[in-house]
Amino acid sequence: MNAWQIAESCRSGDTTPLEVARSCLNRIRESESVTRAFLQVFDPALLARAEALTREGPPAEGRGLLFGVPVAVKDNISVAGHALTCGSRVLEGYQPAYHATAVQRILDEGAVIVGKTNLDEFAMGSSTEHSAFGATRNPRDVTRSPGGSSGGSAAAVGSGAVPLALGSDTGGSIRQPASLCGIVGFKPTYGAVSRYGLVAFASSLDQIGPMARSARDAALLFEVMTGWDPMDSTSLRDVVHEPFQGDIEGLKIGVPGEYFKDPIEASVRERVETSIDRFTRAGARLVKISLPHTKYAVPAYYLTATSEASSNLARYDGVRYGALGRNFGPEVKRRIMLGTFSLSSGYYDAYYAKAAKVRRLIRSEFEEAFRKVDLIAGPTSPVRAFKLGEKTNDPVAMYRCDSLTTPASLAGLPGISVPCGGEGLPVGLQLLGPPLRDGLVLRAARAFEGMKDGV
Amino acid sequence: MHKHMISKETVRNAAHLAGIRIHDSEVERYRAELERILDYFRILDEIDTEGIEAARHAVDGTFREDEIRPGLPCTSLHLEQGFFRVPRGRE
Repeated sequence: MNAWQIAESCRSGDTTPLEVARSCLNRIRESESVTRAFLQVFDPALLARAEALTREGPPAEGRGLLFGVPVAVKDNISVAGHALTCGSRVLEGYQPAYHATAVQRILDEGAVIVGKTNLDEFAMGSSTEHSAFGATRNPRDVTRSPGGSSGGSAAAVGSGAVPLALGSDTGGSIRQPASLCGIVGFKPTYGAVSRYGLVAFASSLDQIGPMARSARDAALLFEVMTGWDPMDSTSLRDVVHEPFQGDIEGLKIGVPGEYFKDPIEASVRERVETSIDRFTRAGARLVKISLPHTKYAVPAYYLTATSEASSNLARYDGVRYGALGRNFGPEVKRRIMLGTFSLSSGYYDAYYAKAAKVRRLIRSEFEEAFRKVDLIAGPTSPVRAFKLGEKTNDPVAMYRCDSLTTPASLAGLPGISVPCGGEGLPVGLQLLGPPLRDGLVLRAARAFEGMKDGV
Repeated sequence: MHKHMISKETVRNAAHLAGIRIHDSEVERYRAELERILDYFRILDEIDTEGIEAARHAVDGTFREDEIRPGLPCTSLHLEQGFFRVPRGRE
């Protein structure tokens, strides 16, 4: 069942949060032996929460948007009273004293948090293989990666264990696993959802967002989480509120040639091209555009993100957290060294500062494009789900998987990945919008889902 | 960007600056990996960024003013009498 249907049924009394929670727990038990998506299941706390909601009954009219809906939370987002690991042994013994703002907001609407999902250590990776607690498997093929870093959340939704999950996206960590697991993943405009309570990886890029089985559910979760928060200094006050549904007639959709070039797999290209054509049947117009700096996004992103990470992760030096003696995994070490190097005297201008200038060019290029088109469409990931272990020894190959998600991250744009069908392993269609036009992106994604049914 | 080789010393120095420990047996592996990564990043040299203003954020000018507010309760397992227990820094 979809999240909006569960909430509706629980509010009307057709079912109860406790019944929903029990059957969710059963599904998790079944799917966990296959996917290993969770690091922690809040059993029995989730049943106690669902029982309390059931006892209290449905909330007042207009509230309880997620009443009784089970939600999984990526384990780099704080839920008070439950251990937070970030997929790392460095944080062993850490228990947040407060909820992340996004978590508080979903609880306020009656959600039941069922547990914490696996991720690459400190969200650094594109496969969930860099977790200190072992890899998560793709529910569509257990020999393959679910993508990452929000691979646990993607697998939990993709396997049907939960209808909704929270993920975080720094360079594609919501959109890419959504694409590889055949679900919807939405990265909001930078600042549209508070980062308070999200463990910092790269602060100028990190963003919490929804993962769901439909664009409608993703929009519902986004609607609950978005809004200004005084606890996050980069939280936006002026997110444009526009309808999450409606027709897309007359919309101009830009199709950048660069998004269909190497390293894209031929089958992914064909599938996405066919899917984009469908928009014309709904009255949208396709416009060929060019984003020539696309191929520079991966290096600019990795220099920026690792530089920020080397500064952010310095807080785990053991002085305040007693973490000495424990150690980061190899990918985190690699990235901290890369960032430290690019910020160090003698290299700063050639690396970190250069990347910041390229970031400006990429931002400007998008601004220019959005003067001509309303949305941009292309693939989310150049490849379908890859075999576990296939790319772990080749960091450059792994980084290049992020070639189509990092450009929007650098520019802070809202972006969504929606499954676009076809045979075999899932392929994701990515839609990008101008900053603050989150509603438009969600509306187009929902329209796209509707078209699939109607064709 | 200048073309240069990453030496083992560069790796040791970066690890030292970042306060992370790497074993001697790992140094060569990290050196080779960082060199491959930076070699790929060298495509940025193709772009002339002379006079381009750096963008360190996704959106400009969104920061709020700093105000001091009450702190948070703490639940670390390493808490002792209101203090954090940490390893000895000096013998």
